[in-house]
Amino acid sequence: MHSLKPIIGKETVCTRKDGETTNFLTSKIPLFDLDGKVNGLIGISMDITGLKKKEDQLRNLINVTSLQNKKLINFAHIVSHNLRSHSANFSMLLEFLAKEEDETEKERIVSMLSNASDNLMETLEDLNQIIDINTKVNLDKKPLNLYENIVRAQKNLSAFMGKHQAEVQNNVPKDLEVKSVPSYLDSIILNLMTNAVKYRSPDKNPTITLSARKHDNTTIFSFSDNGLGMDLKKYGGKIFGMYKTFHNNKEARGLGLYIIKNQIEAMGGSITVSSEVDKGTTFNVFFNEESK
Amino acid sequence: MCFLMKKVSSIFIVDDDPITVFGIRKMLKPVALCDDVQIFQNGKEALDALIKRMDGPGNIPEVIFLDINMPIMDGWDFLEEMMTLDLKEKIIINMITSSIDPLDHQKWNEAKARCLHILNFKNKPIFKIEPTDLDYIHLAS
Repeated sequence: MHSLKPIIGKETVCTRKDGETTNFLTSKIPLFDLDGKVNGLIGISMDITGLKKKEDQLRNLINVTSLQNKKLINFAHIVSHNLRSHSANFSMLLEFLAKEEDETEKERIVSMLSNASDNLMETLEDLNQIIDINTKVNLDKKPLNLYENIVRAQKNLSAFMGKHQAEVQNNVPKDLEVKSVPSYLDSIILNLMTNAVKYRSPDKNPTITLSARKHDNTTIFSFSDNGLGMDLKKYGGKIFGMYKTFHNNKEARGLGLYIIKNQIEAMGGSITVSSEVDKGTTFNVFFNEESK
Repeated sequence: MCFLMKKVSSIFIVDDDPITVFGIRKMLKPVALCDDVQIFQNGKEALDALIKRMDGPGNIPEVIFLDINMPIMDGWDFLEEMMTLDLKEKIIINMITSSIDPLDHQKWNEAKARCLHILNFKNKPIFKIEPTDLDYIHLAS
C-alpha cells in the first residue's frame, strides 16, 4: 500500500490453521484526497475457491483427454502400419500370381497367400483384444488377494516353470488385497511370469522374486527376475510397444507387455521397468486402489 | 532389345517377413545374376555377417534390401552401425517398408545425407526391382 499503486484482481491463497485453503480474488484501490494524499482504501476480496476447484477439474480433464488422444493416434498408427504390411503382401503376391505360368510356382504363391491371410487374421485378433481393453468403460474392479492369485498362476504354469527349473519367491503379504479386474490380474501375473522364464539367463536357473506394499492409494507390486535383462537406454521407449521384441526368441510375439500395459492403464494404474543386462529385470505395477 | 541382367556378386536381404523375402528373391530372378543371396532375420544377424566378411572370406554385398521394423536390431540401428564400419565399396541399400509414417521418410532423408552409401527408400507393395535398386550411375564416366 505504501507504493500508492492500486492492486486489481490479484489471486491470493489463504491457509487456515486446520489446513483448509481459500482462494481470493483481491483488488485494493487507494483513495486520494484533493491534495493527493491518501486518506482511505477500498478493498474487495472475493472467495473464488469453488471456481478454482472447477478450473483444476477442467485442467485434469484436458490432461486425461489429451493423453487418450495420444493413445488413439498411436493406436491408429499401429493399425495402419500392421494392416498396410499385410495388404502390401497380398497385392505383391496377387501380381505374381497373375503373371505366373508355371503351375508348381502358382501353387507356391497360393500357399503364400493363405499364409498372408492367416497372418492378417492373427493381427486383427490382436487388435481386437486391445480395443476390447480400451473401450470397456465400466470396469468391474474387485478386491483380490494378490498372494493367492500368484499361487494360482504358478499352478497354471507349473509344467512350463518345472521344465525350466524356475523358482518363485512369493514375498507378498498373505492378506494383501489389490483392486483389479480379475481377468486382468491373471493376465498381468501370467505375462510377467512367463516373460521372466522366457528371457532367462542361460547360466542361471530362473528365480522370480515378488513383493508388494501399499502406499497411500496405490499398491505397488514388484516383480524381479535374474534373467537376461535389457539395455533400457536402447530399448526403453519401445519395451511396452506393440510387436516389439528384443531378444532372439521364437516364442516372442511382442504382444504381452503391450496388452498388460493397456490393462493396467485401463484400471487407472501404471507400470514401470528397470533392468540391467545380464543381471535381470524388475517390473513395478502400480494398482490404483480408488474404485473408479 | 536390350534386356541385360545385372551381375551382382553378393546380395543381402534383411527382413523378418518370409513373404517379403520370397517376393524380393522372385523379383530379383529376372533382373540380377547373383550366386550369393543371403537372408537375415534382423539387423544384428546381417551386421555380424557383414563384419565377418570384412576380414574373412566372402564378398561384401553390393546390394542390401533392408526392412525397417525388425526385432532385436531394426533397420535404422543397422544403418547406424554400418556407417561406423570402414567399408571401401559403396553399397546400395534399399530400405523397404510398409510404413507411411512421415517420420520414417524424414529419418531416411537425414540418413541419406550422412551415409556414404546409396540409400533408396521403397514403399511396399513393390512389384519389381528397378535398375537403380541394383546399380548406381557413375558420375565420372
